[in-house]
Amino acid sequence: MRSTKYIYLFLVMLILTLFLYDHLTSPVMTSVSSPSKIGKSCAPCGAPCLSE
Amino acid sequence: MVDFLRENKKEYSLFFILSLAGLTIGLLAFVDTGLKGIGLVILGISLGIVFVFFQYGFASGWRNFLVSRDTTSLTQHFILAGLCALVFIPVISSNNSIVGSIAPVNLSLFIGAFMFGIGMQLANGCGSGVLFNFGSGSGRMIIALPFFIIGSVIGTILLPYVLNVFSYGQIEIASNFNIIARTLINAILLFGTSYLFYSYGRKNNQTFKAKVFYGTFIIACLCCCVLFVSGSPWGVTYGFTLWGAKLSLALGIPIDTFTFWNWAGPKRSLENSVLSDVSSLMNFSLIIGAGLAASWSGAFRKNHWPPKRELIAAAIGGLLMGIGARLSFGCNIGAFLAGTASGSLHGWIWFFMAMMGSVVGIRYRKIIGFK
Repeated sequence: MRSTKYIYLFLVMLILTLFLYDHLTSPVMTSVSSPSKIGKSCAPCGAPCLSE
Repeated sequence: MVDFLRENKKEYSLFFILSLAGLTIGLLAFVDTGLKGIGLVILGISLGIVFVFFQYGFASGWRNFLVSRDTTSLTQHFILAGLCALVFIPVISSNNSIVGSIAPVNLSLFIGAFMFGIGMQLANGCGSGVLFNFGSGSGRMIIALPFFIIGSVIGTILLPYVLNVFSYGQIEIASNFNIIARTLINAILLFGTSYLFYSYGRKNNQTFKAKVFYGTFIIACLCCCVLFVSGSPWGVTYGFTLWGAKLSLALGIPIDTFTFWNWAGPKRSLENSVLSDVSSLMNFSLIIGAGLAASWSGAFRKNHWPPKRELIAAAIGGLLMGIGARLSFGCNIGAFLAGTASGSLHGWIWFFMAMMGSVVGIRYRKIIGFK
């Protein structure tokens, strides 16, 4: 039975590379934030409230 | 618990590579967002290590209850939520810059949590379980994670259409009471439920080892730290959703034109660096932490590819969890733990519906041939 090690390593490195690429090509906020903290949201994912 | 002292099974090279990856992310987070960024990286890595060390899972614990009436995990989970509630509710209520995990009670919550329950039994892991088992090199989770990401992007397309269907808005438990009474009522509900599970287990001659509660206490402390540092409770699935959306954009799919991604919060996270999002930063850190723990303890070497049918089940489970998490506003962490600890009714409904989904998921597990 083959170990998952190399595919795992490949995936972790892929995620890291994509993170770095995205980080270097996107604007950076001065603070880490969650979607629920921006605007008037009624759910952790940033979904708006019922009346909107 | 994982044995960290068996030196002959350590994976030094893997440990070194993962340490470098963690340092890279930590350094970038520190440069851009200062102590808050590096703090969240450290908390994510710590959670990964603790989850692997104590093998703290939700899916298997709920299955143990449904299959063999073992209430150990459920007792722990409600203690965890109760401990968090003692901190979350007063802090959220008295501080405008800190928000809780409070979501609407609507039809999509019921359907999504039910789907999530089925999915977590098929994949053999919930939101946090997928993360820390993926981080420990589990073959099943290596398959489940990409499908979780795909599913959560599908969920973002569906959510705007169902958000207001049979919606009663956000419902906070004991919202008419003052902060102290609200905290006590929610804590009594959570610790009381834990006690019910504990009593049921004792009736069935079940023994509860003190060691298993240490993990619960440490995770509760880390969850409170996440709340203080990030300003919101720990959540897992939004990070997956964001990763999927950014990948979709890179592949030419105009995901940014969909309603979900034009809401203020998601729009801002899609437009900015992935490291500016709390959930993304913590998810990657948790993977690194779990990998460090697994490579140091030797747990990594035990991971081999499971049979093909289990991998297919993991893919279906991942997809169901992804869609379900978006429709029901989170997973075991963001909806159940953070929801109940924030005093939101949706957390309790999520628990009940995900448990119902687990009943169905366990039946499918038997059909597939899981042990």
